[in-house]
Amino acid sequence: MRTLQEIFSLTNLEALKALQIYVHHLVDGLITGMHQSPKKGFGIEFKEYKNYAPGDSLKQLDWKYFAKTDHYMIKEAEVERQHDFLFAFDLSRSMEYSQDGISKFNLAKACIASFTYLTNKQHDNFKIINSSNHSTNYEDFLFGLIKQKIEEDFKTSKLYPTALQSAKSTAIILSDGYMEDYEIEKLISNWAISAQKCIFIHFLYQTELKLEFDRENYRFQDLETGQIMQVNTKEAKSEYADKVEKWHEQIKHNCLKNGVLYFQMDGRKPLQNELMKLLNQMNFNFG
Amino acid sequence: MILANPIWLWGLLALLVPLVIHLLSKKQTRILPFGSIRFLKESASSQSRSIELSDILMLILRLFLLIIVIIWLAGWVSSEKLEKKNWLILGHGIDLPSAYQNAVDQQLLEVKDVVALKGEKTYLNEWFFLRELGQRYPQIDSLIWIDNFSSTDFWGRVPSLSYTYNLIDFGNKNNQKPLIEIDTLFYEVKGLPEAGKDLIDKVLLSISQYSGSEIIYSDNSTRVTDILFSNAPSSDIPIQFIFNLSENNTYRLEDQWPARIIHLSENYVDDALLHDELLVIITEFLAQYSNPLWAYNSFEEATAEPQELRSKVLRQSNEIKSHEWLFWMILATLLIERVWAYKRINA
Repeated sequence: MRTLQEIFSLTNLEALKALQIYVHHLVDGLITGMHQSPKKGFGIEFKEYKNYAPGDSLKQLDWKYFAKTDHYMIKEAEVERQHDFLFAFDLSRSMEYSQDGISKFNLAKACIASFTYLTNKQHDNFKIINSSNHSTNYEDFLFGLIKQKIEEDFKTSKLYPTALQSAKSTAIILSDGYMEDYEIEKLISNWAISAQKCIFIHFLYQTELKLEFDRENYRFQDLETGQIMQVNTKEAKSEYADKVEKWHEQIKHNCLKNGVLYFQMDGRKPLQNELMKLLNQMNFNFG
Repeated sequence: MILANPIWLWGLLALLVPLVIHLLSKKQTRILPFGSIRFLKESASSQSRSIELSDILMLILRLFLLIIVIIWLAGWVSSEKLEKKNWLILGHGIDLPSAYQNAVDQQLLEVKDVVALKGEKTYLNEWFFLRELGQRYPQIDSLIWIDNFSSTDFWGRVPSLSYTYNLIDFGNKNNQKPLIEIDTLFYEVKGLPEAGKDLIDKVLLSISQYSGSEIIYSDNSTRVTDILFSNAPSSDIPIQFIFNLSENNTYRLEDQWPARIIHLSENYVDDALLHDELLVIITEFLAQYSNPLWAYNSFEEATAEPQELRSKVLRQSNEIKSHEWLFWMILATLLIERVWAYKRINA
């Protein structure tokens, strides 16, 4: 986790290289040994010839070959699955909360970078819907991602899906969920309708869940409002944990209700393990 | 409030220190950026208030500690009015003189009976009685004692007493047989060499002549002896000069009711060079006996100046008390403060 923080503290160009290496290492490690079974069918890239059999689509018949040789041959290519990966990236200030040296914001960036690497390998599109970074080139996109900054007055409405989304898309919502209850409900339900598949990656750290800190007395500053409040964590712990757990359950329930995959990033476990778990849950196909 | 070192009051400026510490400590509590304090607000409002309350209590404790330290350094002494009493002691069978009636009515004087005060005890020397009174009753400010005193009631040195005293002889001497007939004292010389006898005769003669023959010393052996010159003490004789000390050129006084004995070195008789000294010792001793240094105020004298007496009687004295408990209080407060601070730091 600390490596991530170090990567994002580099200058932009250095960070790009470092992140690339990091992501390659991370994702390649993930997919090593995973069986690839490319689908055959329509596509640009030539795969193989096979003899025509009745029932085969005439669209796939290689007419030039037929003209030369008088043989019916079917030209097969790898199927181009036009699939969009859409990231709804929460850029609110509360994402700056960090634990063990890694902020939610940077962890989310690393997640996006890893997903983008995967999708790029499969020639799928990727896009952060609430960002000006619309580059389709992987390197450019990554560079834009590194330069992405927290927005001072971020509106939750920016995360909502627009009408332009293609139905063949996977939406990945990356947020800490610190918004009004009705907003998070709307966000989840809207994406559930707009996208074919929807994943809600909830950045909720252990310290936030349990209020476990080294000392007893802290003055907590709300990252969004700047409001300061002195709290004795030992005394407030149990009541606080109850409240947070209730809210957490509510979000999970919302996701379940809308058929959205819920995944919690608690910032403690290694990112590689977490991504592995997530991809498994997504039934992600590496083909 | 009386302060011995009021300059320490400048130390009150130090009260600013805990105030500043209090304000700074607000900044010292670590600020922790947190995603959302929404749930903290819902759950910990009462706790945070208790923290602020304990902050204020800590501040008050520290201010209090400083104040008591400064008061202690400034040397706070308080004067407490001790209820002082003025006593009028009446001897056995003596009624309250009418001159004191007013003062007693106005409760300026408290009338006591000497028999009740002495109880079972008998005092050979009344000075001891007066000294004991002062120890037993520290509230006595002044004392008037009216009694039938005889000259042998008070012997020797006047002790330092914690009150002013006024001894008034009731002057009823006619009914009493005086211990010594002052005009003629009979003496006896026993067990001394012949030269010694001559020496004593000469000494007494010279004393008698020197004092203008007010007192005549006679060695008439048929009468009861008043003064004994001997080498061994005897009972019943009020004044005894005993020549038996082996030490050179010294003498020692011994009060042994009813006798008064002065032990002298035998050298005073043998050594002609010491005869002058012997004369002085005997003269002094006899003079003290017949005209003691202390004097009774006569009843008339006391009543003639009632105004002065009364003003003295009315005098109230204050007792100055320092405050040792302040020191212990400082220690205790300091201890509480430290324990509390330690607990908070390690919380």
